[in-house]
This record gives sequence, structure tokens and C-alpha cells, in this order.
Amino acid sequence: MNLSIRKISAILQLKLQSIITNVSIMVAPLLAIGFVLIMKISMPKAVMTGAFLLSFGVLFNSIMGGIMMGSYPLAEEKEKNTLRVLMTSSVNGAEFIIGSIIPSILMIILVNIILVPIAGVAMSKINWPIYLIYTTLSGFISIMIGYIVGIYSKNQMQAGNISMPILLIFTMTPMFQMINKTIANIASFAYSGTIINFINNMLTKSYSANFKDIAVLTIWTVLSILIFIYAYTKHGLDSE
Amino acid sequence: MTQLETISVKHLSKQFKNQTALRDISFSIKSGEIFGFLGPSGAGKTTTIKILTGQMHPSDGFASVLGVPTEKINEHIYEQIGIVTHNSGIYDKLSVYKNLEIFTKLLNVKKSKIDEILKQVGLFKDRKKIAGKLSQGMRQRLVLARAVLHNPKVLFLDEPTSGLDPSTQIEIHRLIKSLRDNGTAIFLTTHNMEEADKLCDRLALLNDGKIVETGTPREIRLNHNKKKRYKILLKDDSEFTLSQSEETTQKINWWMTNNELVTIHSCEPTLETVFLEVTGRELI
Repeated sequence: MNLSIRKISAILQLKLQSIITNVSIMVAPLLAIGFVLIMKISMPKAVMTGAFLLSFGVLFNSIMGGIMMGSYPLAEEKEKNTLRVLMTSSVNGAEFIIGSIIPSILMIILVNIILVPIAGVAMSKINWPIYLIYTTLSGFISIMIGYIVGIYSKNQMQAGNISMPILLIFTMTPMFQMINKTIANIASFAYSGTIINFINNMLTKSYSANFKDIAVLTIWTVLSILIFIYAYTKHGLDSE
Repeated sequence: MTQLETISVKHLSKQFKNQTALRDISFSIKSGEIFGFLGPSGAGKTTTIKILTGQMHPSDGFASVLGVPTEKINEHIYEQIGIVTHNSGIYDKLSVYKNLEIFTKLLNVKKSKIDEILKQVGLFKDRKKIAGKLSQGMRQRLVLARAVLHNPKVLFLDEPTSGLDPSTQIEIHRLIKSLRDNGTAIFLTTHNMEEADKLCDRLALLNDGKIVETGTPREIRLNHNKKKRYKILLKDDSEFTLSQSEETTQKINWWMTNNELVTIHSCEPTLETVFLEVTGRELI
């Protein structure tokens, strides 16, 4: 399969515009920022620690935002019959996916950086290389999950219905890990759980990259790519 | 201009689970030719377009576009074809101009072509309008503009003027003819017989997935002109229809000699009548 930089750049510009103008996609990153701000202002500082606020914001942005940024635009393109137009205008699946994923990833990275000062965390407290790698990887996994949802959805409503339980599982499991040991164990094997543990440890104790966290994120990355490739090979992006 | 075969279809069939959409159809289209595919809804017109544009695989038979089997159509071929279907999508949140700008990048076309094509389809004044706010006719013109932006060698038009007002139809017909004159091979599906008669160089009448008649519109009409009748208007305002016979010839001669004849028209059947005669059903 040939890749054309010209076509990828055209898709990238198109996707950037459609992400910015689509409220249903922008809702997750905006809510992440909004909720963190509101909780920081309205709740007691003893409860709303920087670690909690940042974990909450990153979870909302990378997990919820990522899945929505993957599934909704793909479903919207199918619903409005524009994906078929692109595919019959010389764009191939790989060019479409690469051109679509870059603006979503950039948006996730940008919001994850903005969230640090908004959560009241000192910039110096962040282990930036690991923070950026982990949160970007989790965003990438979420976008891949979103694309898989998008492949199986005919329209945005269906994408919403399919992605809702997935969103809940990945965002709620790490949140409930404090109340139950079994949930905590399960969460540590979920990519969202790894992110939460990393942020908490980085801000409350100290964190150094360990085998388990790297393995969990790597396995999720590979797994999401493989499932995506399977779904794409079997159904295409917009199969008849 | 030498006409090259751009579309070739041989014994093509398409079977869905409970239904046969196409039955052993064959035809070919040359460059600089408008080929009309006529039939009622559900006759198999859209299925044919989907197969020819590589969006669907045939159950049997062979089809090629620009020499490439349709099952192997790739980006290189898509760069040389344009497709307009009745549900072709546009980017509702982008302006008319931006909608085309994306495709100039994708298809490697100069941006100056946008204004040129917008003028041709009568959308130049509306180029800054948000596409979502366009009327149905304007949307259809935008879709057509996008499909011809790169001067395609082959253009697929699936009911391009369906639901459009007469003046828009005329504009679109003019554009289609100019593309044909520049060498584009055009595959046009329609159930509008008048449109087919005006536009197409050759036609195939499709019924229940089968081609039931083929030829130029004139050939088809004349082949089915069995009654050979003439409609006559005389100076005294009398109007009547006569069948061809020795007696009719003599009468016409007499009226002409005596300067009595105002108009005379042959009454060959319309394409619609032919379709009804061949298939026993009307075009809906």
C-alpha cells in the first residue's frame, strides 16, 4: 500500500477542522479541563489533591476523549457518506487513518499538558518524558479502540451506544480501585489503571518506569493495533 | 479524436442473498461518449455503478475501467475517475470553496481550478457559503463540481439531476456535454427518459437486472416505430394523425402541392413508450 504525504496532509487538515467544529468530539477534552477547574475551585484542597485532579483530567481526556475522537469522526464520515467519497477519490485506508490520528493525538497531548497547571501541580513535579509517553500511548490505545468502534458503527448514535460501556469500564475501573482490592488488581492491568497509578505515584511518592507498567501499556498498544487491523481487514472502513 | 474503450463489461451478474440484481449484462463505453443506463428504481443501475467503481464485487462476469479489472481498482485509477451518486456526501461544516480545496490537494489539482469549476456549475457567488446551508440543487452541483475537478477520464453519474429544478438540470446537462466533448467517457444512470434522449450518445434499457434494448436513442426509437404514423397540421387548423400508406403519401403530396400543409411530424415512439413496450412496465 502506497502512502502519499500530500494526501495524508490533506486528510490531517480536514480532520483538524472537523475535530474543532464537532462539539461531540471536543466535549471530552473540554470537560476534562472544565471539571478539573470546577473541582479545584469548589472542593476542599485536602480532598482534591493535585494527583487526584490530574489523574481525573488525564483519564477524561486520554481515555474518554481518545475513544470519542476515534469513533465519532469515523462514524460521522460513514453517516454522511463522505468516507466513501474520500475512498473513491484516491485516498487509501492507511492514509486516512494516519491523517486522522495525528490531529487527535496532538489534541490529547496538548490538553494533557494544559491539565498540569490547571490541576495545581507544579511543572517541576512532573516526570515529563514518562508523563508524555504514557499519556500519549494511552491516548493512542483509546483512539484505536475508537476506530474499532467506528468500523462497526453505521452512524454517530450507534458509535455512542457501543463506546459508552467501553468508556465506563476504562474510566470507572481505576476510579473504584480505592474501594476494592480485586478492582485495584484488575485496574492495574488496564491501560487506564496504569496511567492513574503512575500519576499518583509520581506526585505522592516517586516513580520510576517499571516492567509491569511498560508491559501493560505495550500489550494494550499491540492488542489494540492487532484488533484494529483484524476489523479493518474483515470489514474495511466503510464496507458494503 | 480516436475513441478508446474505457469501460468494458462482459457477462456481468450480481446476486444478493435473495435477489438477482444483475443478469449477464455486457456493454462497453468509449472515451468522449455518454452512455445512458436507463431503468426504473431497483433495476440494478446503482449496483452496476458500485461494481464499476470497485465498491462492490460482481458474482460473475468481468468488468474493467481504464483497462483495470474493477476488483483491482486502486488509488491510481480513482485519480482518473469521478463519481456522482445521489447520496454522495459533502462536508456540511465547511464552505463550498473549502469542500473543493480538500480535493484539489488529494487529487493534485491547481487551486485556480476551483473558481473555474464553480463558475461552470453556477456556484461561484456561493463559494463562501457553508455547504450545510445549500439547497438540494446546489449540493448536487457541488458534488458534480468535486467529481469533475480533476478532468476525469471516466465520469459515473448516478441520477445526477434527480429532484433538481429545470434550470439547474439544463446547467448540469451543459457541463456534462462539455466534458464529453473534451473526451471524458460518461456513464449516466437515470430513469428520466427525456434526459437520456437529450444527453446520451448510446443507451441501454435495463429491466430486472437485464439489458433489454441497446443502441442510440434514435435507433431505439426507430426500431420500435412499427406503426409509422405522421401528425399533420393544415392551414385550415385541422390536425390529424395518419398511418403510412400509399393513400397517405398521395394526400401529403397534394397538400404540399397546394400549399395546404403547415407542419408534418413523424410519430416515432418516445423512449418511455419503447420501455413500456419492451418490459411491460413503466419507469418509476
